[in-house]
Amino acid sequence: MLNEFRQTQLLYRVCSLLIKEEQDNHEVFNQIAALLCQELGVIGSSIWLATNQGGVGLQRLAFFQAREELSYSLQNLDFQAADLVNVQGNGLILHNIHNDENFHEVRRDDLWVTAYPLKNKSGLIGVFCIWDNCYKHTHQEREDFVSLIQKVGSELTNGLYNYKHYSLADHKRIKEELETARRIQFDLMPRELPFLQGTSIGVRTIPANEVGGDYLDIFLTNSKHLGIAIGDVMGKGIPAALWMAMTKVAMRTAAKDYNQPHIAVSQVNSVLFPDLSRQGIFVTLFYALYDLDKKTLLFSNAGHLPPLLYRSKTRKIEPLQLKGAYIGGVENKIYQISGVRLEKGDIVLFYTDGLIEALNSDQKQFGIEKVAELLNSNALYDASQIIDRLIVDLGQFTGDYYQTDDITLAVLKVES
Amino acid sequence: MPLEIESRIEKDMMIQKMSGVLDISTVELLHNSINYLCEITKVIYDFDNIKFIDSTGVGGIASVIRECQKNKVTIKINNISPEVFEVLDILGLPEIFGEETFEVKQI
Amino acid sequence: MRVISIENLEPGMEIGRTVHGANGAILLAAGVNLTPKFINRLKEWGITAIYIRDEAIGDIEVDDVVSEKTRLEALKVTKEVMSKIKLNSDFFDIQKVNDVVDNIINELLANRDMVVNVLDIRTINDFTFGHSVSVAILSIITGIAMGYDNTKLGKLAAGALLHDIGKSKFPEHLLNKVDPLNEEEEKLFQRHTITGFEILKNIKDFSLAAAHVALQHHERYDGTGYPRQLKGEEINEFARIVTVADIYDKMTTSIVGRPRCMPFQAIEIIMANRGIFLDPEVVEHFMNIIALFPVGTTVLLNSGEKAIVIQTARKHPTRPVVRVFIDRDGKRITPPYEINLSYSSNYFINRVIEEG
Repeated sequence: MLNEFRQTQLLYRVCSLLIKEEQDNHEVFNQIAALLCQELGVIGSSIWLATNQGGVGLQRLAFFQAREELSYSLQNLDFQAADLVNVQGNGLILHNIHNDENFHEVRRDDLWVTAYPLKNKSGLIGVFCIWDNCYKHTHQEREDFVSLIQKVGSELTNGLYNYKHYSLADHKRIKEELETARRIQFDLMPRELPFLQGTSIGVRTIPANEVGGDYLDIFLTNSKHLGIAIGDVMGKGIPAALWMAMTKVAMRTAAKDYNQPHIAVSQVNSVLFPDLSRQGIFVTLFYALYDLDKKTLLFSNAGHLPPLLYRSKTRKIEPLQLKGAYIGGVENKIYQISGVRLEKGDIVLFYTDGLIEALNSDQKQFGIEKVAELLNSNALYDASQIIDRLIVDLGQFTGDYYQTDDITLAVLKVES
Repeated sequence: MPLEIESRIEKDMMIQKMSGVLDISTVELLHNSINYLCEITKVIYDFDNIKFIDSTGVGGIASVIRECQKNKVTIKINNISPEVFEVLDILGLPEIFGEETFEVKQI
Repeated sequence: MRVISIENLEPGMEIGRTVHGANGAILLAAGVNLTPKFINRLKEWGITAIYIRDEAIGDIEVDDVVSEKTRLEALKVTKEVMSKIKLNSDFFDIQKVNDVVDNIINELLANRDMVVNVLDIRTINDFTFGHSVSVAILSIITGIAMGYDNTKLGKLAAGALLHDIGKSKFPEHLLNKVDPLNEEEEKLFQRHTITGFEILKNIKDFSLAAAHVALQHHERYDGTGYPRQLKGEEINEFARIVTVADIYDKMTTSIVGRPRCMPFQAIEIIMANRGIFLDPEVVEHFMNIIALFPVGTTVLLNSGEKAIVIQTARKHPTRPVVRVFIDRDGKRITPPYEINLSYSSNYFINRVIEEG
């Protein structure tokens, strides 16, 4: 371990590199990674920047590996460690990856990682990883190491913040608002889906270049009922993201209090109507409640596009048609209810208009017919695979063309 | 494709002929189209040449209708193409503002 | 190694997999650096994409389901048999066919869980031979997935390999005709099924069930095919398998006037036709043996990064292991790192980048 003088010197060098850092240039981070490796005598180090592009997390700014020959691939393990910190939110300090199921490569009993989350008051802005294969013997040595990592980490946090801020300022301040809105939206989307016997579910959101107000939630209201709510807030940016948050809270509460979908939707409208109508904003909302035993799907609709039901037996699409004014349209409205019984192999696709209105460079829309066709030609996959496939087909259609609206999908499939 | 609005006034009636697309990039024009409502008791929007409408556009229509109804100005939207009407209908606009406000193009 | 389309080839790039001609001859060997002349030749041969080696991305091995040697042998034997028939001989050496078929089966049985990962790069003029071998391989893998034993696999394979043998008697100028056939020519073409059956049924020791593959591989499950409009189970099971393999292989190779489909697109068309043209049960097995995104394919991830598919698994057809090599800003990532998409649910493939 470095003595105090060397530690201070190291910190000083990191700071001076960061101060020198210019504009868009992330070369300086590579220099820091190399410096840390040499000075700490470790086998590798890396610096990752948190971003919300595409709804995912991290971009690697720097990677340095001290020794060339390793029996495993450090750059791959490095991604897994950083991704883990990003997903779980907490760090891995002097973490032995031996037998850790999160690391999917050759088990190494002498490989240690310190993956340190770089956080400021607005949240995670990066991850910083140190790889070492020597065991830190004494308690004191470990303490020293961790405290040094923390100091370096806090410098890097500032450095990354400046780096990111600078490149943002470059593209106008609006980008920063966009990032905030994206983060709110991303945090509100369902992360962990309930595991269900005999039913597969999948969800996906593709944020657009301009953040829209798509909303999706999936939850169990009790052990036998699965609630699926999808909606779209008119408008974009932070206001839309905030209304999305309000809708989510109102919907969750109503779903818990009322076991009939139309009463729950009516309740959401009653709660949100005053503010929505005053601000002239509206929210569409489709809420379905699936009975896992009886395989019945009851639903109510407030102005949302009807989800598509693919019948395995006939291979035909039956849209779940039901009319109703959007949330914020009519005060104290009592919404209608309808329902269908699902059978094995049936698929329900919940979606927002971004899917069918996605454009390609010829200004052609993806269209509902194409979506219906794709359900049939991917019907043998499970719900999350169907989503994966729809996304690729959509991507193939739109190509590089700039998308202005979010795309949100949820698929429910009766497997048995 | 942008949005073009051609306005004319006949006595106490304002007729707005719209053509193009009504989406987030053009909705501001729709909002501005009702800036001079004094002396007017009826507004007609002719949607004959509206090709496409997105959710922000629908929001614009809703707020224009609301503004008119608040000021006791009769408002009608005519010649709506079946595709555009479908969008309005799914959102429940006829239910909210009255069926008589919307008139679908006869083909 | 990665797949790159012919339009984006640049002189100096290194060939990753050998390009073979109709009779198995090497046209361009792996390891050769491309020159403008070679690129032009590839175009003349009608090749639309090849594998190239890219040092910066590191090693990516593309493992074919059968060895190159066996594939080439099969190609040679098929060509021999078909040329003999063409020269009005009614006889060919069945032992040679059986040997080559056995080799393929043995190799395929040795890696049961393998997925078909290789794009078969073919010159345009050897369509029938290369096609026959590929259809045989695809049929055998499907047969294995359906639980066939060795005897059944042997018959299926022989039938699949020679399913188009009737085409040997079809006038060559029509076989390579670009424009659609007229009614009369189409009738003549459809006879290749019957011709093929007649040739095979007279070969001593050739299984009658296998001969029926030649007769029935254009029948459709719903009874709209030819020559006899058989329906469902009336069609021989071997033929029902070969029909799927035949269609898949045709869709994924480019022929004159039609670009090739990518595997995931071809599988969609096949799935959409389950129970219509194709046997739904065969389709259910077939879809699992094909890698939707074969090793070497360049994909765009939702993060904006570009990656190469480096490993695929039957269990997660939509989620291969990828190696990320270009970042969101279009810069090379050094060193690249791998993401196993089946573990990282935040990441997914946005689209396939054809141009590579």
